[in-house]
Amino acid sequence: MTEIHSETAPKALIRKMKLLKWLLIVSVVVIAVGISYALISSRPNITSQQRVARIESEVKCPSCDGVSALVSNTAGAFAVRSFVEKQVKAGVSDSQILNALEASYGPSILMSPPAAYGGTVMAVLPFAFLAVVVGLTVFFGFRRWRNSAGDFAWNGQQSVLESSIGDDAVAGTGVGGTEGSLDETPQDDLTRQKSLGPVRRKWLLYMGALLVLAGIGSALWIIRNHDNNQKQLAATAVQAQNEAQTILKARVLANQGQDVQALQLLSSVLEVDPNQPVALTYQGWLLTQAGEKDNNSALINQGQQFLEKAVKLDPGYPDARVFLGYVLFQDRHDANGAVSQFHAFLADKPSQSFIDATKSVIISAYKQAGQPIPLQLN
Amino acid sequence: MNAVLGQTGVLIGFVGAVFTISILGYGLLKHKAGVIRHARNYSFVVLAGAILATFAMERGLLTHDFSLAYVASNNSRETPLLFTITGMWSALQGSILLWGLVLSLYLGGLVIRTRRRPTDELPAWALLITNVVAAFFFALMLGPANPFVRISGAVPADGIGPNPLLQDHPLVAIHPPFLYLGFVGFTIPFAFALASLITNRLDEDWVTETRRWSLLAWGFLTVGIILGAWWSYQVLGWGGYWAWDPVENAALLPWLAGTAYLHSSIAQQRRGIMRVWNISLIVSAFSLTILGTFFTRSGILQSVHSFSDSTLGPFLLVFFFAVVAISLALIAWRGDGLRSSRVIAPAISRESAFFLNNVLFVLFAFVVLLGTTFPLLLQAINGAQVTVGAPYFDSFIGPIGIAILFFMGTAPLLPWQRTNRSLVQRRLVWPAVAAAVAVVVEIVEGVHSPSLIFAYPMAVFAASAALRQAAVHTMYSRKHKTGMLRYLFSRTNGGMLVHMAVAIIALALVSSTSYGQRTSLILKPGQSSSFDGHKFTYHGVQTVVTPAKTSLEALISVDGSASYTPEVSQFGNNSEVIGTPSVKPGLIDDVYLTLDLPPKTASGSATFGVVIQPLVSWIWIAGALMAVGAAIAAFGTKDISPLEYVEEELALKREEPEPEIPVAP
Amino acid sequence: MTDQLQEQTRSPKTGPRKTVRIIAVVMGVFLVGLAVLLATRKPVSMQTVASPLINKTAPAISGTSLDGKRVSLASYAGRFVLVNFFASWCTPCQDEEKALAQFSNSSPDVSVLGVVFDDVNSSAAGFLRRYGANYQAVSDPNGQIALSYGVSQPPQSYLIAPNGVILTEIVGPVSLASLNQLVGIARSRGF
Repeated sequence: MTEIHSETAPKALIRKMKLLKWLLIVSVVVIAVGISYALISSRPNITSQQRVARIESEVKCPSCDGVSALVSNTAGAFAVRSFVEKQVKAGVSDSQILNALEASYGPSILMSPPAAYGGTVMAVLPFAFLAVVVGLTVFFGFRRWRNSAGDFAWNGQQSVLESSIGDDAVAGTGVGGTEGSLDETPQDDLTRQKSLGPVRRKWLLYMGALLVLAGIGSALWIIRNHDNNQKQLAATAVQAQNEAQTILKARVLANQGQDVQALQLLSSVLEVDPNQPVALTYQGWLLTQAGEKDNNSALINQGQQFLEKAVKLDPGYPDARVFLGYVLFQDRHDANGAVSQFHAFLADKPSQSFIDATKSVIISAYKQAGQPIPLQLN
Repeated sequence: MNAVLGQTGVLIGFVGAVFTISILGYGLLKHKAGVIRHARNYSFVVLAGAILATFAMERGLLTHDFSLAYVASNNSRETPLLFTITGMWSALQGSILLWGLVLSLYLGGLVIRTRRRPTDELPAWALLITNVVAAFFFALMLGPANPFVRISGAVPADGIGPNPLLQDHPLVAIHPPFLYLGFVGFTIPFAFALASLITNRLDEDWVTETRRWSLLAWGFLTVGIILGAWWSYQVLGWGGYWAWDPVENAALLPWLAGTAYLHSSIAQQRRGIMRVWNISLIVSAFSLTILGTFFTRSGILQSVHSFSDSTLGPFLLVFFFAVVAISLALIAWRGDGLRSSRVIAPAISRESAFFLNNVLFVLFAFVVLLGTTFPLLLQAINGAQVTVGAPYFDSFIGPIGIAILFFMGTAPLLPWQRTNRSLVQRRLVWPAVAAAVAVVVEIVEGVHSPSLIFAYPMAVFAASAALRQAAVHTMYSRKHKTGMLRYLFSRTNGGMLVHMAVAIIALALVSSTSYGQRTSLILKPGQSSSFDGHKFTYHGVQTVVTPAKTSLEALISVDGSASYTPEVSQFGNNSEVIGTPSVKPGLIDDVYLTLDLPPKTASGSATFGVVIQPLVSWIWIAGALMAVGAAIAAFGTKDISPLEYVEEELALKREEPEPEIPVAP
Repeated sequence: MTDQLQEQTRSPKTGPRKTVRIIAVVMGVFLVGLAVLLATRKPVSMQTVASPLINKTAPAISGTSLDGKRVSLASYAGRFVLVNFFASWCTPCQDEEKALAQFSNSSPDVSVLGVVFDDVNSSAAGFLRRYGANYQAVSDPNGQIALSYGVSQPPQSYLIAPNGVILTEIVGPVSLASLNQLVGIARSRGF
């Protein structure tokens, strides 16, 4: 880098500069030609071993978090590897292999989401983001550049001088590097501040205050709904939320006729919390229904026990009441017992649609028991 | 005793913070200089509280005080001393305590740093905001993350001990503290940014003031992340160091925002531009540290770091929301004043290179954030569970990284404001030649993968550009007849050292992932086998029992050298079996050994996993270089460098001879 | 000159002065969305996603049993089969094994078919013997059966109807009562 010191010999410098220029041009050409050559000649047909590795790197090791089957040492990863090798040998295509794994594990076995699960969106979003940033820059940039065209003329004159005073790449804390050139900013701020009308400022303040209040409010709400000191209680709160979701899922499944799945979900809830009235109720209901269909008194008995337990645990839960009443009336032919359950059910103010769905059975129970039919049912 | 002591410490910290906030806030709102001067020092109360609580925690750990629930579940009598001490950050509550301690240390540092301007409202507001953050973390320790909860019932005779993964490697002692120093460190520049908005001092002061703080935080975070990668390489046993795990991403996100900020803030210091951008970046960096902590602690993401699902999630989320909402409101409020009167000219200049590089960093962060949160989004939409792993990230981060390397090489070569053709030409020549040589070597070596074809020359280009700048800069001392060291350790060179280190990391990353080889070896005692130029001989197994763990070690020699001992261990009463790899590090390649299937009998055959990856060690070496570079950039000699001046002077003489040019200071 | 500059750089009323505010508002909306999304997620440890195999024909199983016979799932046609993936080293498997042994003896049209998951055959056989389980267990040397059922961690079980359709997947240990209920309800649905 001796050229710095050779200012005394401008001619030699110019010659050197020319040489450097040519060197630069040659390097850029070499880089461009080299890269395009390599890209063009890149071998499209990879060996089957490379193919196996590529597929394996696309598959998650079944028992790991985010580590591919290619690199993991777990039993599941070995299984995936031997599967992929066998399939590749058998001439199965990449996508068929991946689909086969997805069919047994679901999409989470793949290291990146498949197209049907948002894979396309994920591939497009970064480009969209870049487009938005570039678009905004160009749009606002042009507006500002147009507005401040004169700025450049002024800066142009100063540029050499200014950068000659300042330092190189990283300006230190003390340097600032703003000598004189930024004098206009404070004034600028002042004039601008004036232009912000008091009315708008007031509104902004209101909005800010509202935001802060909303934040504090939600914080307080969350903290209130959250037991502070005893982790256990908080844990049960989370668990309860989880239970509610599982039970809901089970009910949806039951409606779709997937009773076995539903029952399994409910059992899993009851395993953790054997006194969950909603789970008990629906468990009982599913079992008695199954028992009725199949003439299996054992199932009906079990179901009735679940329903009775649910009623005992939560006497105000209408679903448990109506199901128990239904069982008592239809399976045990105990009209009086059923009526007392239906009575409690109606007293709990169930939804109209629920009443409509169960009306006919309830009315016949009341009739059989010789009791007046409640007004709600008409 | 320890519980009382610790609880008192936490309480002192919290009350101290609240007290500082109220008094300082009063002084600031009423503009009472005396009150401000006075109230600043209350921050030391917070520090005292944090130190007391930390002392109580460490005392509890060291004396195995199992009456503390935290100690009982993260320590046992068999735990070695080192992991007893590190027990403080083995689980959630202690980590929050560490957070509180680090933040209080920063608080104290801030008071001391700004002691000469005790009535200046900018640092006073920054102090207030930092105290608010501190109050939040101390409040967490009073409520949901109390580290000093006493165990209910009888005091157990022995504790459970830390998670096996956390007592397997001494890096656990330093990785989390560095990460926290980095995470927490972003609080200070963030606080100054907000303070500048509140006080309407929107000029370059806050940027200048926080340059060192940000470099410090960034340097710590860099070290923390690299140590984390090293830890997972040494412990997790799959041969890699980065899995795009949600928690790794959580640390990377603020790092990306911080890196972008460190560059664009130079543009603001020098040219008064990119003001909104800088405030937004530093707000992002800070809020992403909170979001990252939320990811780690709420357990909503599947991660190797799910050491502690906790109930802290909602609190952190509310805090994150509040931080971003308040910052956005302040930015919107001061929006007008923030606009610089200057713009980035549509020309090839350093500021436009900074801007483009910044866009790339933001895009990088966007991809990482998208990849991390997408499974949650999809789950909310249709309940499906998907994995977003390396293939997705690699396909985007590869090209982005190459583009970043390109700008990393060119930006330091470009002058501010507009291009000076001959100058740039001259600076560009040698890096371009180096890149050309790299391309030629690649072609000769038969490199074909598209990503490699670009990655190697770009890394070489960036490294040589940085080297060239640093060298010229240092050589220039000769002309000035001053000591070379003064120039060698200038802030500019610190930055250039970081650039070189990043280029080295890029080279090492690309090489190790593209040219890594892996296999399984099944060997009987005494048998040897060769793979990828290395010879492995299996000698047998031995059982090693220490109070903390029982391990089955396999003795295996690599290339006839000393024995390496991949092992499987079982810790204390934890039934989980943890495999520990053994690594033979080397400057050219690392040999990574795992015991995948232990032998049934002493003479039976064992299955070993072997991973051979080139240049991995250079990631750790370059990590250390980055730390050194960041330290020089923060604390090095001031740049009085007339480098630009000299070079431009030469260029000017050629183009348009001018009679008078001011002499460099 | 400075005055002139300011003239020029002063933006008109409709100019970019609003930009910051607009962008801030857009970011705010994005933030609220993100916060809501994150706030409504529950921990991973509590998430369950149903196996995609449910209501589909069960993947074929054939192999050598632990006592050396040929076993295949097809030979169980016409009966309820609980395919149970287990290993002797897995603690929850020890918890459920007694229930499985009883369940397999409870009814003539109900069978259990064990599949060894990442275990040595002799240990697996010893494990079954210890709990008095006398049902067949098939060894799965390369984990291919487990792979076709989408098993990640033992114990994992699948209840297969007499017509060969998978009725449900049970992740984690089973209990006798719930198995009987499951079979009962499946019968009532005409399986």
